[in-house]
Amino acid sequence: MTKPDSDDFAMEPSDGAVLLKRAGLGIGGGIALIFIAGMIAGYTSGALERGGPDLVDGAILAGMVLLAALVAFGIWRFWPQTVEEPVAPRVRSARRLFAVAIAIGLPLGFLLGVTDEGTGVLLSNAPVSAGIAAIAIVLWLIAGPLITWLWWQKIDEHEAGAYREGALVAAHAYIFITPIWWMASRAGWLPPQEPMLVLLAVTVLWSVVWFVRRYF
Amino acid sequence: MKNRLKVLRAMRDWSQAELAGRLDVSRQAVNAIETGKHDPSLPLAFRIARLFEMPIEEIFDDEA
Repeated sequence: MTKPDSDDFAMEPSDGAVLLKRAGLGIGGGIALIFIAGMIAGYTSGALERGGPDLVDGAILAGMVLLAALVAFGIWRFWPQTVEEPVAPRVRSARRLFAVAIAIGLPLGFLLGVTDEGTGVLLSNAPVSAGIAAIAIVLWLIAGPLITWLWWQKIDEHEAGAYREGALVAAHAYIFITPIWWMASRAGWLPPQEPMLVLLAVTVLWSVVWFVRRYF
Repeated sequence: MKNRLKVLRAMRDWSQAELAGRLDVSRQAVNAIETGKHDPSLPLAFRIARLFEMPIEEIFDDEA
């Protein structure tokens, strides 16, 4: 009898379902924990301003801490577990490069976010300093293509196919969205085209197709 | 294209991850081939055939 695999049993969730459940639990649970932490901090601050927490405050705070503990337990309890499996060297390399891309992308996103002068707009067109622009451009010009190329060399043909299919769908979306928005804008039906918004939409579409083809 | 990959793997008592490691591909790739969602390239088909020491046409069947 063969060893069990994720697809050996009809009721076994797919890789994609497990990843989605983890993302939902991680993001949802994380937001809940941050919210509760904020509540505890706010209530404690208020209690201190009133002259220190009394017995009722203590009970309320204890309730909030208990709620946070329950949420944390729920995340741990319902976190989908998978069997530890051997990973091919090629896959390990691709994962490492993916981690490097995230390690570069997150600080860049944080940097752009904190230096954006409070426009509150996603992908703002507000002016930025020359230093920030130079850092971002160098990362996109050198690190982005380099990491993408190295990653492309490491992924297997199944993932490459999923990536190519996503690219094909994204390219078609781009060549249809762009002229439609351009024409609608000239007719006065839509505001002027936002290239970064189109880029975001196309990238999300690309990622969704890649994810579905790879994990479902 | 139909294939006997899952049966051959079972005969050797390999998990998908073990087979993936031997072929240097991801487990998802093995799963996709076994379920017919992905047809392997010729180089990968040859690697599979060499691993199982069988002719390609005894593993993959394009007429089924």
